Amino acid sequence: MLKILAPKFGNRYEWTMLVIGLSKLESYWSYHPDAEATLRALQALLSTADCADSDAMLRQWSGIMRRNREGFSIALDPEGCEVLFQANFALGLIQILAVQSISPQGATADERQRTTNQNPGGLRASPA
Amino acid sequence: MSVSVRPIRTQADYEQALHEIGTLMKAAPGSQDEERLEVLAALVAAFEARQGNAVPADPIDLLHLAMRAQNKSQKDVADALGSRSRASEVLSRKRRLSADMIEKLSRAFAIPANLLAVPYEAATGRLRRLLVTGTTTAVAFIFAGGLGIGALFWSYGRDLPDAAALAGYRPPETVRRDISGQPIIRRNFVPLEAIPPHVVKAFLAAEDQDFYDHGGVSTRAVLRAALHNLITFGADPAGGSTISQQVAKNVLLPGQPRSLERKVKEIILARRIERSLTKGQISEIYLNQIYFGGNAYGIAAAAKSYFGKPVADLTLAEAAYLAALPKAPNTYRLDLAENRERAKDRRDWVLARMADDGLITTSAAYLAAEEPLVATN
Repeated sequence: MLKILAPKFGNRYEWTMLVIGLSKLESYWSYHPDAEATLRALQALLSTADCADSDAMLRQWSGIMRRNREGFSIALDPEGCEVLFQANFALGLIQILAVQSISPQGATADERQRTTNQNPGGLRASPA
Repeated sequence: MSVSVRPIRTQADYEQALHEIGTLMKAAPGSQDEERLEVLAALVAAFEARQGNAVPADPIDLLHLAMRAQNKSQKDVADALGSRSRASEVLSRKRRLSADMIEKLSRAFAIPANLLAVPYEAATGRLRRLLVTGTTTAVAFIFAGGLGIGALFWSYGRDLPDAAALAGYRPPETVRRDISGQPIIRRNFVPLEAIPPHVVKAFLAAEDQDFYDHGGVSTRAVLRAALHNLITFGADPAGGSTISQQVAKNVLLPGQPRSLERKVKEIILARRIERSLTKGQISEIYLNQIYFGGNAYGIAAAAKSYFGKPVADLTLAEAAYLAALPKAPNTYRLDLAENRERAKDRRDWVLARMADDGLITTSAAYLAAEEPLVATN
């Protein structure tokens, strides 16, 4: 109770991870304002993530986090985006690498672009 | 080992630093690369803090994201809060998080409480700013006022008569007569031991109820006088003087007109008198020094002048009347017919106050109040 009513005296603001690369988040939500609130929440939660290693982080975020080639990805399906980041747990450092859109089916915009590029004339293949 | 990095001033520097950080993230612990990574990360974080807006995350968004991250549902929120409807209302923002809920959710979802309490922090922040500003201003005023009062007391307290000299003081016995032989000033000294206790008590009740409790200045009397002056708009000024202050005024500061300066000096001298003299010595000087009207100075002269008897023979009613006189001797003098009614009222007020203070019994006060108030000579 003291922490909430008298935050100056009661709260301990412990940011266990330093999250950098926030410009990637900002540039994404400047084009997708609906995702801003969730991305801000993501940044706040990542900053306070108390993880000693990647396994602990994956366990803690098991619902939306996966390991990938660069490091980790967090799939935010309702917002239609995926956040890629890498972490250095010894230094308590997280670097946001990219935020990319994903289709409702889970394919990223890059993947859709690659599919489009493979078609002659640059047109997407007809569903038929 | 030293690390040489360029400061980040522009967006280009920032992008370059981010790129380099990307390549250094897998640096071996303890290596120079790790040190460089740490320094670069700190510089980038500082640059982002300067660039970005510091809007805090919404607590409910945090809660939703934590639920998704931890594969939890509304049921888990309900379990944490102990109520399904409360969980539903919180998640749909129909109910604000209480302090109790914040604690429970913080534990259940491993979210720091300060993140969930952001709106409260904003609210308490405003309140806190108000409180801090108000308190700081009040403290500054009190400090400045204290300094001013201190300077005033220091200034007035430098050239005052020696209060300790009063220890050997004895009001002089004098009878001065005019050319027709009538006494114009009369004073007979009488030691405190020769004054009956009910006479002393009457003066204490009328003039200084806290005489044996204060150190020269009575806070209660000062506050009462201030309230009285406030109510009467200063038309009938009251000073809240104690007996010690009256001794200071009559013996050490005689003839000085009523002023703030005299009041401050009275207070200083009263404190010094209390340190140098016993309460008995102070009351003895007071009773033998003060003016009772009708050319009578001191209790002995007053008893003789008003009732034609020595102090030791004064009745309770007579003592109460004499105790009423120092406040305004000429207002209560019995030789003028128009004064008699208010003189009796004042005497009865002294008797009532003695009874209220437990100095006499109520029945004694009633019996004394029944006595007629008549001057014998």
